[in-house]
Amino acid sequence: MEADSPERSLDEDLAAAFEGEFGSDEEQAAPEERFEDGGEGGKEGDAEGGSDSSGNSSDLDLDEVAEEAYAEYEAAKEEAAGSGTGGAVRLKHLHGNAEVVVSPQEAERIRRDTVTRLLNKKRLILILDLDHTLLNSVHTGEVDADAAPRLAELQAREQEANLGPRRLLHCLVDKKLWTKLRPGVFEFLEGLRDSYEMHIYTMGDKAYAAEVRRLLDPGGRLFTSVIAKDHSTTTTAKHLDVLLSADELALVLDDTELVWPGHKRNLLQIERYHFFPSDLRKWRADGTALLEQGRDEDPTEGALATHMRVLRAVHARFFSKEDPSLPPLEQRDVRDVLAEHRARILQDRDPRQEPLWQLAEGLGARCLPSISPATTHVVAAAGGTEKVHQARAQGKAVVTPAWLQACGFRWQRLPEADFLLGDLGPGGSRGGGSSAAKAPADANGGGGSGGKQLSPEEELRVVMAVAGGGGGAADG
Amino acid sequence: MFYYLTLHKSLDIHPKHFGPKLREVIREKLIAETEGTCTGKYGYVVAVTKVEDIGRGRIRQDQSGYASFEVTYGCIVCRPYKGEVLDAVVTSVNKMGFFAQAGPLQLFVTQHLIPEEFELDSSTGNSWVSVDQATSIQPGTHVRVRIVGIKYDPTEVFCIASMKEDYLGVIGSDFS
Repeated sequence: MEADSPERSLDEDLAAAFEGEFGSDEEQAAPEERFEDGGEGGKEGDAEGGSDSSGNSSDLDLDEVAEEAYAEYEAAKEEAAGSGTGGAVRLKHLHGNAEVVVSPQEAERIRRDTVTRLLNKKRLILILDLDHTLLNSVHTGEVDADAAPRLAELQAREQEANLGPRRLLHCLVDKKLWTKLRPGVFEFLEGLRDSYEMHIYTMGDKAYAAEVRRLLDPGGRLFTSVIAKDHSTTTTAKHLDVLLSADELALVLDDTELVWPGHKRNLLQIERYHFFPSDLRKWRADGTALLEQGRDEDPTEGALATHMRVLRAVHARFFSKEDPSLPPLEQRDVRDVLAEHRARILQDRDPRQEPLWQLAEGLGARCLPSISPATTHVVAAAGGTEKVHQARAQGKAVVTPAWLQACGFRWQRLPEADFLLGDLGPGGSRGGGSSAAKAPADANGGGGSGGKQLSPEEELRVVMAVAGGGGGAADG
Repeated sequence: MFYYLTLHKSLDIHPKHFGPKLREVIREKLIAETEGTCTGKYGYVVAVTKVEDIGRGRIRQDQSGYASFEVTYGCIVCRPYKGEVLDAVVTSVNKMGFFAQAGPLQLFVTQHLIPEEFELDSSTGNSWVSVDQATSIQPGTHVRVRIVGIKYDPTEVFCIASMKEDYLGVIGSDFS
């Protein structure tokens, strides 16, 4: 090879590559001269081995592919080469400062491969934001005198507990940062690693992302890739294109909806995690951060644990077999599954599905969601609502849900007087809701029926407590 | 491949160094400015072995007081050639292939140039694993590859390499 003119020959190669010779099916079309052009020194031995004139020798294959690899390898040259760059994807997060440009065809092929691979392995893609989602970081300089001793104390406590790498509070000295991981983050990552291929996507810089990855994943086994601001295709938004994966298999966990303009349907928005007071101030003036309150999110019931459950449920649903309501696996879209899951949150609140409503109907009542002249009873968990006032004004019986259940247990209509609702409602709290009923009764706001061997009153208390509608309902 | 070359360079020296240690200063500055750099023509300068000649300094006519010295020096350079077989260490793996490093050289092996028996496994970080699960390519794996293409940047040489040929492949790892 002529060492004096590498640039020229490279450009030629690039130009050739951009004539669209992708995929091995086009090998035969390659002109023979290409061979001699590229063949030199070290390759002679192989050329002899592959001298069969089939035109499909391994050598030719190699050259073709090498050119394709050139094409993926970018720089300004590719613009000079002129053609074929429309729609190419630039990937900067793969390796150091190197940038890989993938042609649209190749990107498409990689996407297809990814989809097949993921579906075979029964995995989906999960993109995780860092700040305010998995953790909270502030500059050491921003920590005021008030917070510093608390941090020191917390750090000492974690040191004592001997948590090792699973500590939640870290002081990144080189970056001058305090970083507090969100409670439950390790459980979250461990719990989802089998069902999801996880990627970090942050608006922070590369060094910060790498540092945090080390905290979250000391073994370097959890995350498939880390994408920082420097890698993103745009500076103000996040986009899934850099992953070269299928949008219909990807979910995003982020605290900011605005940065995902094109992928709202992939997004699970999580409550912002503000641990440091100085961080909270940046967002809003009032309120106290978790550090000031001296508490933290619950690792088993906090936001991350909740999202882990949701993500698991979505995964299970996505890969559930033989569900006639779902399209075949290849055509399933995780966004639809997510939307379906989300739609169920409030759907269950249809009063007709509530156990108390069903109980009332089972006892022969006709239930209505609002008061009408024919209404005889109003079942309410808490007093003080409009319906209760209205019912009282009209002289209708206002009873607690306990009445309904007691009637059910005793197989008879019990005197309403024993179950009248107190003036302010039992528990006096904001209450789970009250409802009016036509004919004997109606209920909503009640929840799950306890199946344990408790006395009716105890059970009712439990039931009402579970429903969150204001405890201590019955006073028979 | 490594070469021993004699090269020339012009160095600007600040007047405060014009004294008994001038030669020493020039040598240090030469090493600082050349070792580890890369030119498209010669490849990477790995080490300066000898300063052969320092020309007469010429004071620059720009009121700065600096003097320029023409320095002739011998150095070892690393320049990749197409068709060269290299041993390299894998540095990162992704679904397009993997990156590896051989001394100062960065290499990229695309998926098309990895033997077909290797499949991507992303369950524990990214790695290419052979169908029989016996070999895997992950950061730290040692591979023997053949350079099939080179891209020259002013400050970097980038190589495309192939592992899909006889006598090429995984040869060990950092961990074993």
